[in-house]
Amino acid sequence: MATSGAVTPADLGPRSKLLVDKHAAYIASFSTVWEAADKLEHVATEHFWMSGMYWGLTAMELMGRLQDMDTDKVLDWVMSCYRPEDGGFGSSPRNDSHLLATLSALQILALLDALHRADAPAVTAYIAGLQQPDGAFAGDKWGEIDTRFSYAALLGCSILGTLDQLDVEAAVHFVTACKNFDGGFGCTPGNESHAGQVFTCIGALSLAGRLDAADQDLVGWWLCERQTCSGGLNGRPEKLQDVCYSWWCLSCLSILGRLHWIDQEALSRFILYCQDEEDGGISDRPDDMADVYHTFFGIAGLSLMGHAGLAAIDPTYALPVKTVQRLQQQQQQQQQCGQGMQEGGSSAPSTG
Amino acid sequence: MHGRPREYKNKLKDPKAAEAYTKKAPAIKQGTTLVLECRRQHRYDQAALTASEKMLKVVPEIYTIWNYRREALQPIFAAGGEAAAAACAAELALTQACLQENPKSYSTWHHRKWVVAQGLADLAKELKLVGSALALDGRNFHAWNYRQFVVKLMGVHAEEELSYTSSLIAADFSNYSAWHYRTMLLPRLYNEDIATVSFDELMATASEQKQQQQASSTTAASDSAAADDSSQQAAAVALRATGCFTGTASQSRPIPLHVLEQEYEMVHQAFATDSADQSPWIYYRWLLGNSLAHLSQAQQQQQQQGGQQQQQGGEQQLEEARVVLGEVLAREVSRFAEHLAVDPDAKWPLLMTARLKEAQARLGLAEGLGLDSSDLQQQVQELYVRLQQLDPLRAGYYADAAAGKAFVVVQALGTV
Repeated sequence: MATSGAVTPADLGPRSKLLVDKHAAYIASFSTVWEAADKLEHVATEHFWMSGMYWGLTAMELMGRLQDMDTDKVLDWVMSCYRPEDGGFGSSPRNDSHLLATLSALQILALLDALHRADAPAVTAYIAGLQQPDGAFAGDKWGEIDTRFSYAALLGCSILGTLDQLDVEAAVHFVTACKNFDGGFGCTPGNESHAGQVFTCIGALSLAGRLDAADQDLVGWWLCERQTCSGGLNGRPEKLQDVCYSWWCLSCLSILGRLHWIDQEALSRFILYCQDEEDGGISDRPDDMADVYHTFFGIAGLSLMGHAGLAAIDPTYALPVKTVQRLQQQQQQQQQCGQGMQEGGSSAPSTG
Repeated sequence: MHGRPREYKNKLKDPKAAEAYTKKAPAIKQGTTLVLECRRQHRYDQAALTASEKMLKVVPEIYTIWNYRREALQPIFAAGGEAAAAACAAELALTQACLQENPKSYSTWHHRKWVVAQGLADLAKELKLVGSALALDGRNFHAWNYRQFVVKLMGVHAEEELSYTSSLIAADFSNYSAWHYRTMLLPRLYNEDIATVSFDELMATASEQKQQQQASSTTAASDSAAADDSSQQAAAVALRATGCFTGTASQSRPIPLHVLEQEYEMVHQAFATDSADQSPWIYYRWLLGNSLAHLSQAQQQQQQQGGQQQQQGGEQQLEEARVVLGEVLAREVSRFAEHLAVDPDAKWPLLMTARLKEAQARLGLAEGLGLDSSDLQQQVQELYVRLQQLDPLRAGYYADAAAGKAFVVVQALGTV
């Protein structure tokens, strides 16, 4: 059995393939998490239900099993978390607006091709209103600052096609102020590099078209040093490997064109070994309890590595490539319509 | 979510455990409902707040309940006096209790920051508290984040914090967080102006603004609104005091040569103790970057100087910088050669040697070593090829490095 050593094919046994049916059933059991009054892990996570839904839905789409989810019900639930008084979304209908929940909501709407249900100007205003004079973003009106929120803001507005409503230059300035001696990024200026923050900062820079602000070789090297002899990746030096870093590190390496700097076979075996072959789902480490978060990030990591049978995922948007392409097409059409109207000629009706 | 063994599922098959488990769920759901109903009724009385405390101690990540508490607290803090001081103490006690259970809760640390930013807390005590948190877990980045917040408000000198990191590192060479903090402190101490703003100065500015507003206001309502506003503004500014030591992205100059020498010594002591720890090796790259930056700096100065007299001085400085750098690189190569004599397949000394020689080759220092530049390049390639075999997980990186497509040391000034 391999916990810290490499996972061999022999170790994998029943876990040698991605157990799509098991994981689909596992995720589908969370399909309407707000209705599960008795399960502790549901009730105690209300503060990130919106993100949980996004992880579950996107994982299902990657596995080609989105139809197993009650997407109409989910959409109505997502919209019930919208707070018109400030233009944000809460993590659940009774939780206050927060930038992270707002991003997850927008990602879900994009995934389900339902962005028209969002009041784009209002949500944009909510996001823009959280930007600080130094370019940073607060998570909500109570002022917590973190580069996670920079990513959430830039991605949220990119999804809505309203990135120009943010001060992108200032946002980039703040993100680069969080760059550290190892090429990585922390949550605020002066704070230690952490793979999760590296992802949010590289993602933000990518959305802003400013990857030049990253020391790409240096951070790429720091990221490939996250791979431990188990094949899994950790989030910072001397820490334990964890499936979620299959996403945080891998997506960065993908964005930076350096995915080949890690051993993808070894990582794939590690992720597969973290599956729960009895009840479905993927856990942080082999033989730990599974959860939707690690299930999504494990599947997302495998998708980035081109695992057979999984749809491709976009490393910056953390949404299926198909979704992002559709988004970009829709935004292009909207722009063309706008141009047509400006020129005073007849504009083609939008075919959305 | 993290680190819970799967056999936990089997534990729940025990009826007693299952019962306790299932009782928790409705308790949390109903507890949340109760608090939010109070809030909907604009109830901020003690009973309601006590109910919110109970919830937060169990699930400190329910950010909406912290929001509710802050709504209750805002008027109390704005009014000042004993009630404000008592409220501050209560929040510090509550967040401390929550942090003892979950030292990595974003919402809890943020609430504590928000409270402390009101200006009523004993900052020395806060520094002590965060020191204790770090003694328990020296890698807790929430605690490090909070430490930088407190240190900035107190105006603690970089030298003191540097001693703190030295003691942490002496106790544990693999404390990456402490090494990281050094990379913030050293430039601050030796090169940059210390731009700390003490909380007293912040509050002085805020009360000046308040006085100005009172002078121009006409009603008591606008007085208190203005007071509220400016004290909140000061608190908001204080809350943003996230570390006086900006990231190395803004390090504008390398740390002085004599300081570099001390740091090289320190890091080699760490290598001698346990050469498997990543932390000192990654720190070492930054030191090397600083050494190279001395040369870049001299080159820039020489280019900027006009006039023959100054030019000669510039050239001499440039030549000195090259000599110093050449000596450092050569010395470091031989130090690692000693390591490799004992353990010829040790990854880190091999990787450092490859990068040192790469620097020597790219900076045209080969001749000074009595080597042909292409021979040196050859040695570099051989080292990377060897590393591909010794550290196969990263074979892809080493292949790019061997092909000259991955530079991790030789960088322009500004990204040391």
